[in-house]
Amino acid sequence: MGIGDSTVVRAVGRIPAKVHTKLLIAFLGTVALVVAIGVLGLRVLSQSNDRVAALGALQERAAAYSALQGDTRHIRLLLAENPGRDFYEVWPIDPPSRPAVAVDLAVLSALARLGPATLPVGLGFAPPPADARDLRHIRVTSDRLAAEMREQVRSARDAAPGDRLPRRHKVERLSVELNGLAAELANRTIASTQALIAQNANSYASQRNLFVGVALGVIAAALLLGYVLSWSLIGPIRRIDSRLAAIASGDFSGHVDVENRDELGALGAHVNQMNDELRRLYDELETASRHKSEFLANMSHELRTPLNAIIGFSQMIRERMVGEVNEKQAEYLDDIISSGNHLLSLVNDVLDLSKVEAGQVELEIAPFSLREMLERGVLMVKDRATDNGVGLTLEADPDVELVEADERRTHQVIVNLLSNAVKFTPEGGTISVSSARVNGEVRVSVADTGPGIALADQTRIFEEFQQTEIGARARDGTGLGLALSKRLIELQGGRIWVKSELGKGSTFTVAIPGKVS
Amino acid sequence: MRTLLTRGVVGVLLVSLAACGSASGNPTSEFTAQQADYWAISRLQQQFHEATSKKDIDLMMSLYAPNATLTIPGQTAVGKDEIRQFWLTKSEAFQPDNRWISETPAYKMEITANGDKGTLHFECHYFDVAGKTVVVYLTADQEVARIDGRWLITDMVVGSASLKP
Repeated sequence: MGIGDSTVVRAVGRIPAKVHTKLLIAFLGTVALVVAIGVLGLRVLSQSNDRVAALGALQERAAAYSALQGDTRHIRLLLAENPGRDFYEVWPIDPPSRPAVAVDLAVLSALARLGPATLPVGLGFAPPPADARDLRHIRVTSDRLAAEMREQVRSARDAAPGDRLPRRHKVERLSVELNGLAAELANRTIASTQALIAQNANSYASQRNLFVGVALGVIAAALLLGYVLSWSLIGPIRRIDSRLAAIASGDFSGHVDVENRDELGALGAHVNQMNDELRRLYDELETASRHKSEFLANMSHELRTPLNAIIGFSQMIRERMVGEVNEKQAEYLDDIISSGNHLLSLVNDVLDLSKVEAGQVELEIAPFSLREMLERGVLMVKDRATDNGVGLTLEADPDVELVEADERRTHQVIVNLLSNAVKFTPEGGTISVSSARVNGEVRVSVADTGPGIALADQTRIFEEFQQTEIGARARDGTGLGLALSKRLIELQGGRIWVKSELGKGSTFTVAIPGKVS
Repeated sequence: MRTLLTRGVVGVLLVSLAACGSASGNPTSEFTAQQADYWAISRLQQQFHEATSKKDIDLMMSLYAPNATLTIPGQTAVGKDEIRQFWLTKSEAFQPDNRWISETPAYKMEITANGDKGTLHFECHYFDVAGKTVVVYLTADQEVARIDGRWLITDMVVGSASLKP
């Protein structure tokens, strides 16, 4: 099954729509696919833009919450700097020199700034609900820590060392809680930011794959569409072309198979119709031609018999074999004999031509001496040439001696060419006969210095009853000699052609594939 | 030719369908990952007490990030070298004469973890084995981070504690 014979291609061909409609649908389909890619690209760009915007907001929040956590960490570190003297009763290290109350005041100062920093005004943006809840929690814890710190500062002077430690621990616990809340908020936002960045990377990869995948799919669909549609047209065109070529070479035996239900289907049907009609006409012509050839062959044979009697008896009378004839009678008898011979020659040519056309000629291929055959031919026309004052030469190639061909038919052709040359070469002219072997062929050329043949006549003279203007004027010849020569040579697988120019003579060449022995 | 074409088209469509799929977050796996983080951070507390109780300074130092800080009242150690020196010279728990064991009651530990960062707070009690008494009690507030896939202490602040529940 060829490329254009696939089931899909044939199915598309069977769609009952015009080629124009199919092409329009294919074009619109391709445009739709391109638009689909464009829409997908816009969607991908839009999603990417949304993610970038979300990432920007997250980064802004992460930065603000990290700053907030820095403040709570600072408070925790301040409290750690000097936990109070009673701390060292259970933690045996040297206490710092900075007074504890100074640290507590610094913590209170930092706490005073922390509260406003958790509000939208301090943050510079409106936090989402979950963040707002945590920020409120931080604010409440900060307020509780501030209250405890103020109480701690107030009681620092009065409380016994053993009573101060639980309060300081409570303060530190609140500080740890405050720092933990801020750290969790900041860390959660940072984690969300990093997750979004990772998601962006994944989304980019998946959307790129989606885009590439869809683009490949669209390209494949477009190629498939183009492939199927083009082959649904090209396949039938090729089959129709192949059938037309067969018809042109005379083969009317087949039919073209085009399943299309469009213009090509109609074209295929018309080609089949034309094929059938041509076959019918060809058969009729062949029958008529055969009948004609058979008729001519029979008629020629029937004509020759009485003609031989007419010529023979006229010659007997002319030769005074049956009694004396006067001059006038002798002149009339010469006319009868001359006209009879011309008619006999015409009948013989017609008979030969008819036999060739009727396929009744059987070749007798055998080795013969080409040189001797040419010499005999030259001898046959030598007297006439001499009478006309025309020189006749033979130049036979010694390398071409024995040739395998039908000697009698070939001799008939050579004599015909020589007769024509003698007939048309004026007094003082020359006729040259030569033989040679060229490219595996045996070639015999008959060149004369006659009037030449116009280019327009060089093909026509090989057809039946076709002569040059000069030949027709001469009224000597049947117009069948060259046609018969051509048939006899081609029957042997050879060729015959002429090279000529008006006023510069003619050269007829016969080429036969005869094996040189 | 037709088979080749069909295979090609099917292949392209499969690639297209595969490209349409996208990785989406799985709540179960996220919960599991968070639990794993909590466990890894709680291991820092366990190893901290194992290091102080066994006086294993190398185990202790394996818990800190390279640029970690450790703050006790009045002073801050920066980097692992200073922290190592702190534990060896300032901490009674690492002194050869002391036979102390430290621990944290399970309910006195708090952990948060978000992404690659988190917090760890615990109170710890040091017992003198010889005297069978609590000799030190304090808190440790830590910021932790996942570095190269492992949770480590990046900042530690020692604070006051109470023996109350």
